[in-house]
Amino acid sequence: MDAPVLLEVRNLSKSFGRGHTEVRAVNDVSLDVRRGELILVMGPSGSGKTTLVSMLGTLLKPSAGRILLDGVDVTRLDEAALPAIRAQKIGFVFQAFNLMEALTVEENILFPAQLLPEGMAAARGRAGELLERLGLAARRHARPPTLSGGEKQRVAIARALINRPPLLLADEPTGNLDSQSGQEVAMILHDVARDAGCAVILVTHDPRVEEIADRILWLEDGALRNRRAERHSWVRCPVCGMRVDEWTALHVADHEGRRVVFCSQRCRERYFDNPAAYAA
Amino acid sequence: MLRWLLKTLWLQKASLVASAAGVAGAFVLVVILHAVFAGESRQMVAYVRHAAADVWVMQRGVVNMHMASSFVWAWKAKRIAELPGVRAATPILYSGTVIRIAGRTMIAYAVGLEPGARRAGPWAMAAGKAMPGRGEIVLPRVFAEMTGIGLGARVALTGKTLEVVGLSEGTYSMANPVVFVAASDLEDLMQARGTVSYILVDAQPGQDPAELAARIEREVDKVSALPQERFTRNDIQLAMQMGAEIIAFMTIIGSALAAVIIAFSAYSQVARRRRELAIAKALGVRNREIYAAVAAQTALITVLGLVLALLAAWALFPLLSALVPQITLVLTAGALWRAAAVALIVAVVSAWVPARYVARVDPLTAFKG
Repeated sequence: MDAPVLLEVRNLSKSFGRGHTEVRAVNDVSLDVRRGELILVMGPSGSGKTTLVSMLGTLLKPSAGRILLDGVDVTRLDEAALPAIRAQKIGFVFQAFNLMEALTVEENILFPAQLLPEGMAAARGRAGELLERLGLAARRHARPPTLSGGEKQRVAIARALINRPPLLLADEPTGNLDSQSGQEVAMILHDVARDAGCAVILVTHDPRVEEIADRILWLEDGALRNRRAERHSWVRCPVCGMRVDEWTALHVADHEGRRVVFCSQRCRERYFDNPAAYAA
Repeated sequence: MLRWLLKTLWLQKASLVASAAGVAGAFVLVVILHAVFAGESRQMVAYVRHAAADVWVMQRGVVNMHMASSFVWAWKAKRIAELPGVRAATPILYSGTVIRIAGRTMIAYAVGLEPGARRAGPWAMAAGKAMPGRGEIVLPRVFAEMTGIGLGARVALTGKTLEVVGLSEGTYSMANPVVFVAASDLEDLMQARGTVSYILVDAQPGQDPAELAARIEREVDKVSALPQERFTRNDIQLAMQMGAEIIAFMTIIGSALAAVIIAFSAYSQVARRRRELAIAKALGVRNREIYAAVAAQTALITVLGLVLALLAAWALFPLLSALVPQITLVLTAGALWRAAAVALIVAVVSAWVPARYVARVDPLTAFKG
């Protein structure tokens, strides 16, 4: 049996400017997202992905259309009511991690819990569980500047989950991570959707994440379209062996007359440190 | 929320200390100005307070001593001494004069003392004798320190040369330092034979000073008589009228300076964390929660500045008194309360500046890498 629909988006549009200068960043988008579903929003730069997610996260008012989150039409709520919706119903994961620099890992995770009516007491136990589950228990008193990129993003995910929101929005969560950390984060988000029943909407350029998605939405010129199949051309990164889409890969080099595709800059550097080691 | 802002403040200790020090500087200015004013106000009535007559008698219509002149026939002192309820009546001559000491010219109030009128003379001595004879003068110790003279030096009081025979304590104020000379010398200078300026009346034990003052005014023609407390209050009021506006103006400047420093530091603290504020808003923190935390942060900087200011003032006061002996500094509870009240107002006003900034931060900024 299908899980109930958590998010209903109907004819959602967002325009910037007026008259001749009007730009439609999102154009008549409709979609349903069920609990426990992991959806990828992909598309070229400037296609309106972040605008769409910003509207779903109630951070940006749509020009038209409506968004029903857990049965509540959030587009009709006034500004004063939206912070409570964000605190209780939506978790955010950002590309740049966006942790509070002065707070420890544990305090960062607990930060949104203070916004709940029930307060911090219950959240402390949940924070402990999340620290364990995401492999951060030993780092609970560390401050963000001392964490690796992967650790920072795991803290950001734990922070997004502390209030047990039914919807998690992640904007390029693997964008600043090396291939291994990126894969870890992708798997954590997959588990969040599968185990916690949380709907996850993930905006990404990263083709490696496609494998974990239940659905992929292709956004182009602000509208959802069918993705062209010929865009895929899977090859293996010669350093770590990860699958990479040759058409969208950012790290490509010509070496000894051969085109080499890497999953990340780190793998590219490793390769050129000792090309002979990866010749086979 | 508050924890986050406080920890962020703590993380930027140098900036916190700089802000608090700036605020402290402004408050030190306010506290020192009040202390100078309080000290000077107290010193201006030092002679009246220490003379401690039960009733002061003077020319009709005169109500105080500072900047006043009074002439009463000398025989009236005897008449008053004979009234019921009067234990003693001590006349003094009193006049504003110019004194030249070691080439420096100073303004002073001279008190002319009859022989044996010790109760109207200096109340504490640093050196020498308290009662000047003819051709002698008792100066405030501060005068001697300022000019580098000592006992035996010769000074000119309105052209008359006198020998310094005593240095008194607590008789200096910037507005009216008091010197003591023989009544006959001052009589010569004032060309006021047969007159006195004030009569210090001591009441019999159990005699109400207000009743005695009323009796003196009834029985003795053309004099005003005021109890000590009323006479002192009149002098203080005059001092307040003369200095209060300047002090109020300086307090406003000091407070405005403190407000600007606090507002600027609170604003820069908040502006530096624009991105984190956007994140907090994106996560669901309301503007009013951030306002409250920013106000608490501003209050913290203010309180820290105020405490630093009080500590600095406490450390500076003895140093200032030693370096500038002519200034009398008195830190009153009223001055502290006033500084605290000013700090509170300053904090509230200052918090408004970063609060406006907070309101304008767009949570969408959190999405921009």
